[in-house]
Amino acid sequence: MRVLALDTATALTAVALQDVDEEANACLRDVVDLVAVDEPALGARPNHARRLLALIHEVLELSGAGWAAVDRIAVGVGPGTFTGLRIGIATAQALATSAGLPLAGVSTLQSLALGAAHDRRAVLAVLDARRGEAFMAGWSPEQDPLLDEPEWPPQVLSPESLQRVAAQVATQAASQVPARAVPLALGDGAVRFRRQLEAAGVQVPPEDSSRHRVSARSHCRLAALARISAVPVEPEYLRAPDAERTSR
Amino acid sequence: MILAIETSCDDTCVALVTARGEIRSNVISSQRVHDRFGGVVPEIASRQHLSLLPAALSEALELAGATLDDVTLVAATRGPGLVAALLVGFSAGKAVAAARELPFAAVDHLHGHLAASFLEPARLEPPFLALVASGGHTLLADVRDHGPAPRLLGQTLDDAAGEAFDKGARLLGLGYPGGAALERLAVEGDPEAFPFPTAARMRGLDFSFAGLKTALLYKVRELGETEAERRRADLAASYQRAIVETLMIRVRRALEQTGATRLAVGGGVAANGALRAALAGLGVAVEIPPAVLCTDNAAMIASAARYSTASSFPDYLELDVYSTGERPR
Amino acid sequence: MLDLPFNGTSSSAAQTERFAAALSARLEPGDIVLISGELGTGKTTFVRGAARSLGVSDQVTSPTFTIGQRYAAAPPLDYVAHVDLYRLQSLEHEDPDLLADYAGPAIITFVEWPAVGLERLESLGRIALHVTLAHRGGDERRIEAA
Repeated sequence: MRVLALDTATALTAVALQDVDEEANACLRDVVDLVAVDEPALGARPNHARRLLALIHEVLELSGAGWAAVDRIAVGVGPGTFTGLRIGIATAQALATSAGLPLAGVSTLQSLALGAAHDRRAVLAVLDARRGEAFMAGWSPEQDPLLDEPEWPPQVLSPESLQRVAAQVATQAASQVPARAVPLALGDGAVRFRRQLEAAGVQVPPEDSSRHRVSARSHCRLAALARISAVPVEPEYLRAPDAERTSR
Repeated sequence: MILAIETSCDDTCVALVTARGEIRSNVISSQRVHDRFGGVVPEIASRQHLSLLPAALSEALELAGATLDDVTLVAATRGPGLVAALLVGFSAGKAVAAARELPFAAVDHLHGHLAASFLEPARLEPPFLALVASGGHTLLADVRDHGPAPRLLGQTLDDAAGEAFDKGARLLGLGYPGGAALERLAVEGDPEAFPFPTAARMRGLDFSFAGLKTALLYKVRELGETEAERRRADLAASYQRAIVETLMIRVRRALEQTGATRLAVGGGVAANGALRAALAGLGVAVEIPPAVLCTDNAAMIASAARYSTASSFPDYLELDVYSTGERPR
Repeated sequence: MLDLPFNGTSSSAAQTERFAAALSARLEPGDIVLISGELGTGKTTFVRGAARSLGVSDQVTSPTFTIGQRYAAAPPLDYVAHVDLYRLQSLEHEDPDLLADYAGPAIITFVEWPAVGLERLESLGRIALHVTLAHRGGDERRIEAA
C-alpha cells in the first residue's frame, strides 16, 4: 500500500511517500522511498503553513506519478503544538476529500516509538510540550509499538512526574526475568528532559540521533495497518483550553 | 463554481458561488460555545473550526447540488483575524485546490465585506460609499471598482464599533455577545438621557470610540450601583445613540466630501436597528445586504475572489495568513 | 529618557503619547512592556505614542479582536507588536504559539491586560517596563512606570 504521510506536531515539517507491504509491514516493497523534512532555523517558529503543501508537492513530483501514486493519506495527530496539529490535520482532511483518498490518523508518539521497535526493550516516546512540560507514552519490553496500545498512555507531565513514570518503567523492566536492557527514551522531549530520564534509569541517545526526530516514514507503516474510520480525524491535544476547564 | 472558506473569527463558513456571483450555498456554522466565556476564545474557536469544517464543506456542496468536480476556483480568507483560526480554513482551502491543481485566491476579509454588495440578486455596482462596522473593523471606503484596494477614507483610531457595543455591554453587566443585548435593553430607554461623546470635534473621517467607553464608565460610577441599575435602559439607549451618531457624523461628512449618492453598509453592526433607522434618514440610497451577508460568511469571500488575482497551481502552496494588514518589509 | 520609577499625570491623550515616547527611549529589541489599567485609561493611546517613537507609521488601533497586531518599525526593530489579552481568562491552556508572532529578538512587544499571562510573557522576553494607567477624573490619567 502506498501511503503519503505528513506530520506537523513538532517543529519539523515531515512528509514521506512509501510503499508498505501490509503482510510484513516492516519491509518495504517496490519502494517509493521519498522523504522531505523541513527544520526551522534555531529559535524560529515552525513554518508548517508555508512548507507543508510545498513538501507534499515535491514528494509527489519526485514519485513521477502524482496522486495516482497514493492509496492512502496519513497524518500525525500529535500530541504536539496545537496550531501545528491543526495545520496538518486540516490539510490532510482537505487533501483526502479532494483527492478521494482514505485518511488515517496516526499517533505521533507511537510513530516515534517505532524508532526502538527492534530493541526488545521498553521505550518512552517523549515530546517537548512547551511550558516546561512533556508529552509522553510508554511501551513495555514485551509490547510492539507498531501493534500495541502503550501500557503508559499518552499524557502531559511535569518534569518531576516524567521522572517518576520513567522510574516505574525502568523498575518494571529490571524486575523481569531475564532482566531487560534499560528502557530507551526518544524524541525532542527526551533530549530536553535528559537529566530526569537518566536519573530514572532510562537511556537517552545522543542529541543528534535521528531517532529523536519524528519520521513520516514510520507514520506510513502505522497507517498501512490502521483501520479507516468514518469519523473525522481529530487532534490529540491532551490539554483542554483553560476557559473550558474553569467553566466546568 | 467558486468554493470559498472563511474562518477568521468564530464562524466556520463555506460557500459555493457561481462565476456570475449567484449564491448556490452559504453555510455558516456558528460556534455557540463562546457566549459563556464573555468573548471569543482563540484556542476554542480554532478547535471548533477544525471539527466543524468537514461537515460544513459537505453541507455546502450538497445544498448547492454540486461536487468538487464543479469547482473551478478555491478561495479562503487570509486575514485579518485570529491567526490560529485563519490557519484552519486557509490550510484546508489551499489543500483542496492543490489536490485538484485548481487556482487559489487568498482573500482579504475586508474586501469580502465590501464584495458582499457585488453578489446577486441585489448586486450593487461601483462607485459607492461603503461603511463596514463589525466587532473587529470600522471603516469608510470610497469604492470605485470591484478590486481589493478601495480608497480608504477613514477608520477607527482605537476600538471597532462592535467592540464598543461589547465593552459597553460589559460595563452594564450584560452578557456576551453584547451588541444584541444592549440593543434590546436600549429599546426601553431614553437615548437623550445622557449626553455621551461622539468625538464630533475630531476632524476628518476617522472614528474613535475610546472616549465614549470612558464616559460610560464614569457615568456608571457617578450614579452608583443602585441608580445605575435603575437607569440601565437609559444608559444603554444613550450609549447606543452615541455609537450610532459617531458613525453617522463620518458617514454624512464622507457623503458630502465624495458626492456619493449611494451607501453600502456591511459588518455585524449593520444589523443594529438604531443605525438602520438613522441611515434611512440620510436621503441617499442605502443598500444593506441581508443580515446573513453582513456578518461573517464565505459567500462574500467567494464574491471578493471573483475580483482578486488568483494564483495558479502550484504558486500558492507557500502562502501564509496574516492577523493584520501588515507585511514584512 | 525618563528615570524609573516614573510617576506622572497626563491631562490629554497627546500628553500620554509624549510620556510613552519618552519612556520608550529606554527600550531595546526583544523587550516586553506590560500595560495595566481599566477600560478607557488610555492603554492603546500609550502604545500609539510609544510605537510612533519607535518608527511605526501605520495607524495603531485596538488589537482586542485579533489578540495581537504587528507594525513595521524602524531598524534595528522589525516590528512593534501590540498584544491585548482582554478576552482571555488565561494563557495557560492557549496554544503556546498564540503569541509567537508578537515577540522576538527584533520586536518590542506591548501587552495590554497582561495579568492573565505574566508567567508566559516572562518566558518570551525581558519584561522591561510595567506601566500602570489610572483614571483621575475627566481627561486626567495617572501614569506610573517601573
